[in-house]
Amino acid sequence: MTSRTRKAYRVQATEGPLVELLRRLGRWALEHVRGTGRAGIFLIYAVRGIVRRPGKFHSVLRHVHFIGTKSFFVIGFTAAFTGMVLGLQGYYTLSKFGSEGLLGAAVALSLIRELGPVLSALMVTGRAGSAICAEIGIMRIEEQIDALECMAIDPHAYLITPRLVASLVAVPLLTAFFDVVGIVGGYLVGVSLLGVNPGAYLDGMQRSVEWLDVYMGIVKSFLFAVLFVWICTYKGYYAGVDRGSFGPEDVGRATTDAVVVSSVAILVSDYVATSILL
Amino acid sequence: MAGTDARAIIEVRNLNSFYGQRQVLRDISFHVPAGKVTVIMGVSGCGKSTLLRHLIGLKPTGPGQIFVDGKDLAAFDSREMEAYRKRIGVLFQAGALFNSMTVQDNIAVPLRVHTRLAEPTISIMVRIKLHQVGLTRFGDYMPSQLSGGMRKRAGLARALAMDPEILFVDEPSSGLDPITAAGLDDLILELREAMGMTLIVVTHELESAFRIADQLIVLDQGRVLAAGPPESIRESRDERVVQFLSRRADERARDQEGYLAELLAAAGGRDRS
Amino acid sequence: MGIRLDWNEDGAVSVAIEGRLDLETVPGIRKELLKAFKKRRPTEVVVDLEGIGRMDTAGVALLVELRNLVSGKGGSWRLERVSESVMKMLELARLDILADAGADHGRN
Repeated sequence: MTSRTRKAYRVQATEGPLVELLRRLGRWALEHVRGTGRAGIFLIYAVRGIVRRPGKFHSVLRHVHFIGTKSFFVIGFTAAFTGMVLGLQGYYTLSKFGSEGLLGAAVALSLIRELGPVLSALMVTGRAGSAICAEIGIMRIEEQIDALECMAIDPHAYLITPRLVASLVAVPLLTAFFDVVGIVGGYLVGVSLLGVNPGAYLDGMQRSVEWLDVYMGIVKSFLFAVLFVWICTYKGYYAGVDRGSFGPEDVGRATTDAVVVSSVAILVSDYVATSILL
Repeated sequence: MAGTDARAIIEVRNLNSFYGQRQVLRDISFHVPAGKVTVIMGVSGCGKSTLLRHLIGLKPTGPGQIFVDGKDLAAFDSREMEAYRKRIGVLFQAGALFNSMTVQDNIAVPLRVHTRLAEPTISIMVRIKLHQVGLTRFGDYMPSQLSGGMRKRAGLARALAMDPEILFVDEPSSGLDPITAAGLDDLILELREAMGMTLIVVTHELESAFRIADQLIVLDQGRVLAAGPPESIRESRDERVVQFLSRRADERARDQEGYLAELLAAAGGRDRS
Repeated sequence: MGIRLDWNEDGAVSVAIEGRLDLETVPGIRKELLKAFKKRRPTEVVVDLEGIGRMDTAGVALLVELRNLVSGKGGSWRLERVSESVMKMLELARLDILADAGADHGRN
């Protein structure tokens, strides 16, 4: 190495890292701003599809079946055990203060306000969200979305809107189902197993659950319904687009991303929604 | 023969195209005459599929323009773009069938979305299209149950569903056996004949290209190497065109030496380490 | 534009189609024809295609449907004054059989 090249190398090295850092920071920020904007427009297009292309009832029904009906079992199962464990934990905690009679209220309130909406949304994301993302991702890499565009069919209205509507129908219903099964599960453990007075369980529940609690649960379930479909379809729709590569591994990456981001978004938005609604 | 007498339905003017930093198309210009078969030919990686994506409005034009009936494609608003896309049919390389529905439902999609045709009419039309591409009895199949070549033919049936004015075809014969491929070529010529359809075919198959083309455009490394009726291309004295047409044999001979050098380099590198 | 029906006393009808017979016009024409044939069952249908400007696959499909409807109920069927461009469309659809020997098919 001659001295001149070594010097050139050193000069580059001294000014390099800072510039490079700034450049990367800028690129990172730009990418995220652009991504957020694109995701927002994506949702707007999907919502616009509700107005623009009404009456595709059959297609919505198919997705309600996929998101809702097929999640029934897993939701029921999760709900039963959540309710049961709530009954168990609640009983031991409350009995320390001699107030086992509040068990019904404790179980019902935690389910209706928090656990019902959050856990149903998380389960649906895991079961249906990943599948939705993969399905749309495959449509992207196989040029099916391009084909739709070339047929003058708006892919947002055709692919995203029915899933969005279906989710808005299915997720709140699943949440309600979750709440009911969970309360029954808590009843089984608390009353049948641990001997809490059945009248106290039901009466405490009835007296403590107010309209605001139910309202909060419903609002949350609608919010999560939009969030999970939005994120999962968005990730699938743009699978591989930014990298300019359209292979199966891009769908895989998008699917993992979709589930992680949806789950985090559900938990974060749960906190935000709670703090606003309370 | 072609191009001069017929109206130009699409005109490409000084089109350049990039993927990130990499330039794939360089200063491309040509006309697509109405009612003729224009074949865009070149080896894989020469940018012909990218050119096709520009022509159907999937990739925004960078420097350079594409005119459809004299109007700049880049200036189309969403309504004009929709109108343009109702006039065109596109066969994608792998067929791009929707895998959640049967072949016949695939073909019916554009008809159901864009027309008010009754179901019985649609079902007859779908059958006619399936018959045209030689898939008469496969309407009830799911795309995943078909071979690659059959999927491609089903994709063609779907592209033809609306009887488009302009049909874009990406690699019609790749993945097909020679007899089916020849049948597809015949169908392309018949479409031009019977409906006055304008066809733009992207292919790397020389034989098929010369059989169907009214106008040939030879792309090489993102540039137009030659354009004109097939006879003029075949008789071209241009060294690079001659080289392109006899490429296969030529390249294999040249390749062997490069290959040998590569092998030696690899072995040497291994040795040293 | 549109269709004109001329009924004979013995139930034969000649259908003259004017203008385009394509994706856009077929739904309306079909509805009109089905309504007319429901009101009065034709014994013989002659479709006059002289006035047709443009026909596409939707038009071919309509002709197929009509033919099946008429000959299914024992009526006879014939295409008349088929232009060259219409013939080309029929050939493309591999249905040039519609144009010739239509009457024979109807009587079977």
